Amino acid sequence: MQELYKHYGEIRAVDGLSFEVEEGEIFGMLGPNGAGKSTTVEIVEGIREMDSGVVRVLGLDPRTDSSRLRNIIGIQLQSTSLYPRLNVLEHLNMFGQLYERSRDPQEIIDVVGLRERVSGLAKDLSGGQQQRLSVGLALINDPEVVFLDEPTTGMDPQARLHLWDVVNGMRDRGKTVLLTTHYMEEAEHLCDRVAIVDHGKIIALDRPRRLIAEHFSESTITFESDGEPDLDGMRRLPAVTSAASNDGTVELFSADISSTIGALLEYAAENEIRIADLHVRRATLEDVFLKLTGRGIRD
Amino acid sequence: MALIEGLAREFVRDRTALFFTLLFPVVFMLILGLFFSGGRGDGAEYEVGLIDRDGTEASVGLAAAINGVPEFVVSSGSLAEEIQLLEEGGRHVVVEIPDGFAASLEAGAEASVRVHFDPSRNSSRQVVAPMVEKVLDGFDRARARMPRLVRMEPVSVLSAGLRTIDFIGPGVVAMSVMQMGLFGSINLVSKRERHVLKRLGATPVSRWIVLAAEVIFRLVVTAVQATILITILLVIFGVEMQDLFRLVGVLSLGALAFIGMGYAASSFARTEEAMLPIVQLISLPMIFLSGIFFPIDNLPGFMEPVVRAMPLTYFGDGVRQMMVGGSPLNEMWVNLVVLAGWLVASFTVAVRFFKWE
Repeated sequence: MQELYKHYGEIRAVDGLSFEVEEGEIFGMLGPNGAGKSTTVEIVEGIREMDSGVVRVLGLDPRTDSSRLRNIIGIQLQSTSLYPRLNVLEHLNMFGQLYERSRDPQEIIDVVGLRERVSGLAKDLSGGQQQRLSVGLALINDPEVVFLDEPTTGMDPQARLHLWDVVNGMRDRGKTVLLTTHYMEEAEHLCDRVAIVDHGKIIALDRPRRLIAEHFSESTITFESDGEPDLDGMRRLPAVTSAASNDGTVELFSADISSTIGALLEYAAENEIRIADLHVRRATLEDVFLKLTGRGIRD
Repeated sequence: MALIEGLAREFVRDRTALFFTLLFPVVFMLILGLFFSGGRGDGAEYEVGLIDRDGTEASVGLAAAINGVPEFVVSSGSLAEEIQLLEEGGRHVVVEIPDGFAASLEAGAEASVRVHFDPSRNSSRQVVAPMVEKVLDGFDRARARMPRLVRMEPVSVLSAGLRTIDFIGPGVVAMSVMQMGLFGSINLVSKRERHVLKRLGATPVSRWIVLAAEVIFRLVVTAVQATILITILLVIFGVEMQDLFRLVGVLSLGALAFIGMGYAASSFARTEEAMLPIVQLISLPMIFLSGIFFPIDNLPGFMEPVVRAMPLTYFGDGVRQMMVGGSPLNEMWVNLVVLAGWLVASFTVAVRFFKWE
């Protein structure tokens, strides 16, 4: 993918949003429902009109070159759009015939792990299986760019892990993937770069780890302690930037975990403070989102 | 082609659709045919109760004459029993030959035969009682040895001697084609609701090809259905066929017009549930008022403009003319022009308002 750049004017759903996706990259759009992710993706795919802006996918304009473009991109819609009474293989065969080139349906069946349900009608598949078939249909034309709109919504954890493997497999084949999700851990695990979207705007865009590092320089040390903890004493421990306690649970924010923990254990022994359930937590994209918007992603 | 194949597989697996689009019209046609193929009045039977109080040669002769009417099933019993049966609907008429019947005739006096009938039953009042009267009349004349000089020769107004099935059969063909066209749009709405249309629209295939595949598939199913129905009419019920070639033309035009109407209507319904009543609202009045089951002359005059506005009126008449001839409602070209007009109008609306999602 050479260039992907666009602006939107007045519409609130997608409000002056622009980004570029590199070839061979897995690019995530992360944000709550209604943030404008799907709208954006559908405009890029060329199946939704935009009010204003410029979009290029693989050098093609989705508005004027749609049939050429659609031959080389793969699309999975957010809603599972299947024929209720066609089975898995029939879906793949039929969609394969709609494209100029297509992969062997049997291969796709293995890729998305639907071997056991090959002759199952779409209406009899579980939600996760329907979703996997939709992803399979997005791969049938061996596309250069794959668009996955909330591919793991409604999947159980096992199915989700399997789908992550499928997406990683696309990376290995050198494909470019643009996916949307509202699962933080999905974006963190899967994506090379993540755009955090809220109210139709990109509020942050970078590698997941960099996003976290940029907004949270310190990690959190949490433990349980009896009695009233001496927070002032703890604040004087090395590398601690702040401390708080709530109902016997103490949280220390530290810029350097190893020096803080060593000092904390010494301090506890000296003052005969009992420390239980000690753990260290690195910040996640969830925290980044919370910090940037002031609310949780599923609120 | 792949799209049409997919549609066909879906269709064959949808048992409900299969039943209502293919099997139901066939069953419907067979039932109607069995009821109405008798036509021309033969086959009807009337129950006649006969009480002969006289028991003379003359009265037995009259009884034999009544018995000789092929439509009559004659049975005898006591007057009270027979009258009760008449009241219960088990007899159409009860004929009572009084005591002294022969004696009166011998004396050259008038002898009255009592005919009890049920004025609330049309067949009793208008058919059977006059038939009995005719028998009495004939008996009278024969006794007086007066030759019968004036005879009525019945000639059917419909030259081909149209039976009821000849009228209804082509109408049902037209109705089924209409239903197929209109109800096909429900499937379309459900596909839109399930975002299948949106997904197809996201493939390189042009959206017009997607819709063309739908229309072609509907036409094929309609052709299969119409062929089955027409074969039943021709083979089982012996309905005539005037012009097969032009019939196919009329059927295709009508099928397209009604598919177009369905598509136009589908633009205004968001869900499958909303679509069903819309389709029924369009189709039911037409089924009852477009002269499918009875000639529209039987409808009150003020309905005329309504009937004239319905496309099924013209389609049904067109199909009927091409099959059995009969008395045309309109000139054939009027039927064709009206259908073509509906076709153009509905596809214009469909194209203008059609939604992909």
